[in-house]
Amino acid sequence: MGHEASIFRTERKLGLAFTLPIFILIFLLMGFPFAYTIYLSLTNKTVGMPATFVGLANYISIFTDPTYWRIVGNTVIYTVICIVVKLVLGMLFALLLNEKFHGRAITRVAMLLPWAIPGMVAANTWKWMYNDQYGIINEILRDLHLISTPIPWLGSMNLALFSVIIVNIWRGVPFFLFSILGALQSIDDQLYDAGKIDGANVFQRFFNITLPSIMPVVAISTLLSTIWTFNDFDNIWLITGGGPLNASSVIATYTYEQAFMYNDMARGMAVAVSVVPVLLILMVLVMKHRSTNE
Amino acid sequence: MKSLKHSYIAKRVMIYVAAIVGIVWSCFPVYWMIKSSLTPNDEMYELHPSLIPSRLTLDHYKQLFTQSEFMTFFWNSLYVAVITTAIAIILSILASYAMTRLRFRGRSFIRKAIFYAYLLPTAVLFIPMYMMISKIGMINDRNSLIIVYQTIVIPYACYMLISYFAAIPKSLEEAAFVDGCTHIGALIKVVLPIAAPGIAVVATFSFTMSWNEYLYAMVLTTSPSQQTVPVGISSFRYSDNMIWGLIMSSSVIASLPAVILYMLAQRFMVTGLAAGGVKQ
Amino acid sequence: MNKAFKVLVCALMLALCMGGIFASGSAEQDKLIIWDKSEYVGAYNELARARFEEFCAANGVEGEYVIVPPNDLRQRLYAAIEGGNPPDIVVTDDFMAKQFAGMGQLADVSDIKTSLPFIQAGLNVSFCEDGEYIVPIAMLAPGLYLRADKWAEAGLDYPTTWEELREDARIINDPENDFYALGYPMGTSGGGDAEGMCRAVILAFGGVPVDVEGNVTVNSPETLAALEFIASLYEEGLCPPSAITWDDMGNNTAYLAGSVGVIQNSGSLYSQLRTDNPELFENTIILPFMAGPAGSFAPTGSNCFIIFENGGSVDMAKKYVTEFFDMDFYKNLVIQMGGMWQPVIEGADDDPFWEDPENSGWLANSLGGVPNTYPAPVNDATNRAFSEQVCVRAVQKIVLQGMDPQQALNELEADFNRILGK
Repeated sequence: MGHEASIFRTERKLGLAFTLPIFILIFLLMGFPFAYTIYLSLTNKTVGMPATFVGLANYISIFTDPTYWRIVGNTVIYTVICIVVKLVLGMLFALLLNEKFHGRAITRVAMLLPWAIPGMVAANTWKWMYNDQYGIINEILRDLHLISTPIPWLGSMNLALFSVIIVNIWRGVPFFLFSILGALQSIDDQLYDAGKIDGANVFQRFFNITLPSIMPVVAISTLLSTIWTFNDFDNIWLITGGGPLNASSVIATYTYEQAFMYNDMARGMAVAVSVVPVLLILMVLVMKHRSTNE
Repeated sequence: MKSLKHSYIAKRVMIYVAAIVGIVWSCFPVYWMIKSSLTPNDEMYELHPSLIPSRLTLDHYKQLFTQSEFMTFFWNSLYVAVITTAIAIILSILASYAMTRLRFRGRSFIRKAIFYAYLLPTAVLFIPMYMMISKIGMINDRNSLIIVYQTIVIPYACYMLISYFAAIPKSLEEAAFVDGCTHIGALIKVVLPIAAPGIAVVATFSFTMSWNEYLYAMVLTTSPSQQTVPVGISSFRYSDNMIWGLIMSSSVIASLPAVILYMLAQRFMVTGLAAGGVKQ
Repeated sequence: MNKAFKVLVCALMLALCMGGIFASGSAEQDKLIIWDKSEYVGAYNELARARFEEFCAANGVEGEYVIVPPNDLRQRLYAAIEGGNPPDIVVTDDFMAKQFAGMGQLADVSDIKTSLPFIQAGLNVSFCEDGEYIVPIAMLAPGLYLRADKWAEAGLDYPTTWEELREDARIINDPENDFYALGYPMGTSGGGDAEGMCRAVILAFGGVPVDVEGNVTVNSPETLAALEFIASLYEEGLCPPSAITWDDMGNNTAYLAGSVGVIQNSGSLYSQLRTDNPELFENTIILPFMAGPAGSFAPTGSNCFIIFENGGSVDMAKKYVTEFFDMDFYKNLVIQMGGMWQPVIEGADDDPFWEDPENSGWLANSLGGVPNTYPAPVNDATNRAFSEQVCVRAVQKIVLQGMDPQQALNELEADFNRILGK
């Protein structure tokens, strides 16, 4: 009994010692900015001026502004489409790379590239490719006689959001692909053999054996990627700046625009804080799900 | 038998078609970036760009290396990314080990709470972060980036490492304890070797994250002697001209370290991510 | 007790470590720091840097010369102001500088402005109701670039009014062959070109966005006609489809590529054409701004210095700014800009360079321009309205959302009231 207790004591000490550094780093480093942001959202802060407390005025102002709700809508569309497509494509290509074929190594390296390229570089390159006059995308479509006049990929109300979604998907597929591929390769082949003997077809094997085995990895990857996509700023800001007329604006870029282009810091902060509860609920749900799974 | 062969061939064809689609989809923008970086200025703004360049030039690279401070940005980025990754990985290994193997009060709280660092986008955090860094006198110091980037890298690293560690059977360590190992001994001798590929992957991703970061780097550093590559690339935008040649050539160079790292880590990539799923 | 103690020791050691890292960073309080604008003409930044370093060496101060791309300036400066750590001197556009004038952050520079012989145009463009905070460096006169060869091909005379320009454009326009008559950027990326163009048309049509007394008078039939006119240039396809979202570089690149017939730009492009594309240079003619029923207006901006009170070295900064206008240095610097800049100091135009007909036009333009916010009182609010590109947004709403022009104008009026009402 005494031995047990001493082990427990050691674990407690070590546990605290090991987690303290990240606790200090993350909480001290994020604590102040976080609290300060919430505080500013309750004031009328602009740059260079002292802040006066105004209560919930900023929140009332944004919640009654139709533009805000459009931006929320854009954010949901952006996040959901990006995540779903990235997940599906990532899964399909992971299944592909899980097969043995000539050139698999090369394919694997090639498909990893988009993730290795800095986001800002990707944004610049895509912006260059989307250019309606010198861009290669329109040129290819014209050569194929699919279009006769150039398409303003970034200049149309209907296309701008779609165009930035494509870039996010391009960048994000490898993350899903390689996470899922890892999980796939750790599935015991015997499970499949057993499945075959039971007469399960390809789809049954996928849904009964493959999917359950990779589910934990899919869940983590989806959560991480959702948060990253939701807060994605560089991609949209560098390609369309959220335009035209906020057509491709999401919470992250709208916040920035309000705070730094219009110097309405307080309102910008309020926009950012307004979606925190949603993210929080999302995180709690996924983590709860995860801990029950373990 | 024949139909089996047919379906085999059909499957092969599908695999190769899919592989080609995947390669083109992933590589085309990269190809276009490299092609643009080699295109002479007077052909850059052609109305009908051709897929295959007619003339190539190294002028943009020459200009990049001789007339800009790009190499300073490059070394700064390398410095920041390597040290950030090293610190984040060491701290995350310790923390993740504690959170999967040690029982202590507050464990589940910390484990859940790490993620809260991602609740607000950097697009709003950079002003308070600047104020804080400024209070401790570290403005315009690349070392400040190493501290700030921990908030981006650690949550990710911990989350991945926790899942790797959790998948390693406890029985392996218990054998080590019987041999008289301490917790730290078990971590180093048993857990780390098994999780090594996974750690390599997390390190690679962490490196990329800090290598790519733009907003914090832009506001926290002001002199070229302290700035990183993304800030450097954005500085090739003059008052109302974008120098596409310089932007594209610097982009190619900026992509190299991460790409090389990925090539090296590539073989761990699959086994590493799979390590999380070592069978119990 | 023991373990709690150990944990405490660990925590303390970590705190010390972090403190050590923090302390190793040095605070740069006594340095003279200048944030300069990155200019397309590379010679500028080299000359300005050399000048600054020379000054610092001569005065025994440590100095730091930093080039900031205009797109990054705002957020960096905001962060620096909030951190209580702004640079000493900033070089920027006047409409940007004027927004900082209302913040109580800038040092009064009336002594510099009275001690140097600034020309009237320079004083006008740097005047701000909020106080004497802005020292002009150079005028950035815009000009209308027109493809003389295309006009000759069609046998047309050069246009003088906006209406004529549109009529000519309908003839010149050739989208089938990727040639568009006009290349006016209309994106809200934060530069001044698009809003400047809108204001020029509104004024020419007789509209007055904000009157001399600061009343919002934008909602008039004249402004409505102007907005409809601008929108028609995009709706009729006289500009490339994406021009409605171009930033300030869109027109430059399009013109360089030979895909548009008319753009409005400063002299920067002119000097670039001369070296990079002699053929296009030969085919280019610079015209005065188009006129409307109420006349011709060319909103003209400038580069300028502002000095931050909190920077810590106000006196040294003022000394530098004053010595920057040393006649030999300044005269040469402006000429090195190849027509993009026009001098703001009496006598600095006394050089054969400015007698060359290719350059004298820019000089004349710089003297005849109006401030960006004309005829409104010049203060931080009116400049904020310019900087937020409210008129551009109104045009975008008509073109992209198909909004009724009167409705867009009503919303424009509301935007002006929101910004000026504060």
